[in-house]
Amino acid sequence: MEESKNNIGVETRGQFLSFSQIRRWPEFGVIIAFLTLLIIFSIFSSKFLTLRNITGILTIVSELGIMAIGVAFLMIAGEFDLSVSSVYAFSGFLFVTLANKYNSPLAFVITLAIAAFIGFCNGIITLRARIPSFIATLGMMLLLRGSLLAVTGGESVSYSSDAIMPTILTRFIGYGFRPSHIWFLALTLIFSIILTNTRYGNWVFATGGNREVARAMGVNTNKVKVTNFMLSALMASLSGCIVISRFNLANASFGTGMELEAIASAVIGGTFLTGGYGTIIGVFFGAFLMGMMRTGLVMIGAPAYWYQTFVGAILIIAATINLKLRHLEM
Amino acid sequence: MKSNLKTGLFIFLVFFLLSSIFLSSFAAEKEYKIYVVVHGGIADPFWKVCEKGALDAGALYPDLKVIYTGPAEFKLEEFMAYIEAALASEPDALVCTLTAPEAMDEPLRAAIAKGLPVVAINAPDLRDPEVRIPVLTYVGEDSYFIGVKAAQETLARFTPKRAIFANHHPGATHIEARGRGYMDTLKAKGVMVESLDITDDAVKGAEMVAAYLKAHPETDAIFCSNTLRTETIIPRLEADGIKVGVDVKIAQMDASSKILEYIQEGKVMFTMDQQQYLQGYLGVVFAYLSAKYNYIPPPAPVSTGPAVITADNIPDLEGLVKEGYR
Repeated sequence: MEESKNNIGVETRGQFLSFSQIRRWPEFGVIIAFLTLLIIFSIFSSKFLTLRNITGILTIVSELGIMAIGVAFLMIAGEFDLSVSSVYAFSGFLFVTLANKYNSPLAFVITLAIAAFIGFCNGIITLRARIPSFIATLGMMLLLRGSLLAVTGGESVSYSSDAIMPTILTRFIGYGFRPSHIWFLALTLIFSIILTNTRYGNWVFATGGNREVARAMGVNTNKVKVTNFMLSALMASLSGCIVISRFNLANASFGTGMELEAIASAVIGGTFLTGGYGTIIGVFFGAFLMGMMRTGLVMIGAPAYWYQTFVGAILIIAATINLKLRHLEM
Repeated sequence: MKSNLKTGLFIFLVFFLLSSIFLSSFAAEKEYKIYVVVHGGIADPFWKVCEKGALDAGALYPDLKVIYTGPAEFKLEEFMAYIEAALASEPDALVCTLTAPEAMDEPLRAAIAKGLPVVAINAPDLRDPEVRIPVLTYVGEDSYFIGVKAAQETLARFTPKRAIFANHHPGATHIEARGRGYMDTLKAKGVMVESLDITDDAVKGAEMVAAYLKAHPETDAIFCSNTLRTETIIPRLEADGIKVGVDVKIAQMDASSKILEYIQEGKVMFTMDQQQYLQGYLGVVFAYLSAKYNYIPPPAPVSTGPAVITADNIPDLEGLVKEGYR
C-alpha cells in the first residue's frame, strides 16, 4: 500500500502529464503556496526577483533546508528529532574549536562523526528505553544546549583557522552563489532518489507507515530508525558547520527554535507528522517557503511587529492548501 | 471543492495585482528609503524608544521613508537574514546595530564598497580599528565605559560582597563589553563578581537569578543588562522573601515607567540611560543627509550616554518615559 502511494509522483513523471496528474503530486500544494508567495512578493517589491536577493534567500534556505531534509527523512520513518537545533549549534562550536586547534578538514570530519554518534544515541534511547522520540530528543536538545552554554559561558568563539572547509562549504563562488546552495540541491536530489528509487527508501516508508507490516515483510525497522536518527543529526551538523563558516563565529544561542522551522518545512512540504508519507522535493519547497517569507516581508516593508503573525498565517494557509489538495488526490 | 479552491486562488491573485497597480501609481518622485535593522527584540520597551526616534526622524523629511525592522527576540541568524533582505532591497542608506561584527563583515563591507551609506547604532564594532567595518559613524554608548560607570556608581554607594552581571544576550559583543567593564572595575576592588546568562526569555531569566541567589546568598549586587529583565527579576526575588533594595541592590540599563517606580521605591539604585531615542533619531538623520547630500557625519563614537538616572531625576523623566522618548 505504501508503495502505490509513494510512487505516484515518480510513475507519472515519465509520462505526458495532465493537470489532474500534476495535482496528484505530493509536492503540488507546497509548489502552489510557493508560487503564490513568490508572485505576491514580486508584485510588492521590485527588488525581490533579483539575482542578489534570490541567492541571499537561497543561502538562508540552504542552511535550513539541509537540516529539514534530515528531519523529514526521520519523520517519514515515523520519528521526530527535536535535538537538531542543538546539534547544529553544538557542531558549529565543536567545528570552530577543533579547527582553531588543528585544521578545518579534520575538525569537519570529527564534528560529523560526533554528530552521527549523537544521532545514534537518540535512536538507541528512543528504541531501547521505549521513550517517545519527541521526549528523548527534547532531552537531548536541552542537554546539548545546556552543556554548550555551560562550556562557553555565553561567549562567542571566532573562527581563525584555514579557509579550506569554509571555501568548500559556503564562501562566495560568484554572482552571489555559494557552495552551500549546491550542497542543498545535491542533497535534495540524492535523498529524493534514495527515498523514491531505492530499497532503503521503501524500508523508510514502510517503517513509518505500518511498522508491524514492515517487520512482517522482513524490514529491520529499528535499524532503519537508528540510521535515520544518525542522518538527521549528520545533516543538522553539516548545516551548523555551514552557518559557522559563513559567520566566522560560533555561539551557544545559534539555531534556537530552528527545530520547529525544520519540522514546519517538512510538513508544509507534504510530510505527514504521523510518518509513512512525504517527499524530499516537497521539503525543498517547504524550506524555500519558510526562508522566503521573512525576507519577503522585510522587502515589502511590512510592519515588523506583524512578521510573526504573517508567518503564522502563511504557514497555516500553506498547510491547509496542502491538505486540501491531498484530499483531492486520495 | 475544486471550483471553490480555484475561485479563491483567482480572487487572491486579482486582488494583489490590482493592489500593486494602485500602489505603483504613487511612485512618482524620488523617495529615499532607509532601513533601520536592530538585533531586537523589537517588542522590547527599550527598542520601542529607539524605533520612535527613527520614525520621528523619518517624519521630518517628506521624501524619506524609514523601514524599521528586527527579530522579535534576539536571534543572530534571523537578524542577519533581515540585514541581507534590507541590502537586497537596495536602500539609499542602512542604519543597523553591529551586534556581531564578524558575521556582518562580509555583506556590509561589500555594500559599503558599492557606495551604500551605513550608520551603526547601539552596538559598535569593538574589534581592532584596522579590521572594523568601515561604517560612516557610530551613534550610541561606549559599551565598556557604561559598565565601568555602573560599577563606579555602585561602589560609590556600597562595596558588594558578591555581584553578578545579568546578561540577557550572551554573545552580543557590546553587552559582553558592558559586562567586562562592570566586572573589571569591581574585581579591581576585590569584589567577587561573575556574569550570569539569563537567556532571552525574561521569565526564565528571573528564575535563573533566583536560583543563583539561592546558591550564593551572599550576593548583594546585580547589574542587569535590560529593563524587561529587571522588571521580572524584582518580583521573582521578592517572592522568595528577598528584600530588594536592602538584601540585594540592583543597578540596570535603560529606563521604563516601571523602572522609575522601582527607583522611587528604592528597589533599583539607579539606571544607566544610553538615550536610545537619539540612536534611532540621529542614525536616520545622518544616514539620510549622507545619502541625499553626501554629508559626512561626526566621527565615531557619537556618544549618547551614559546618563545616570537616580530618584532625583524622576520628576523630569516620568512624562518623557510615558511619551516614549526615554
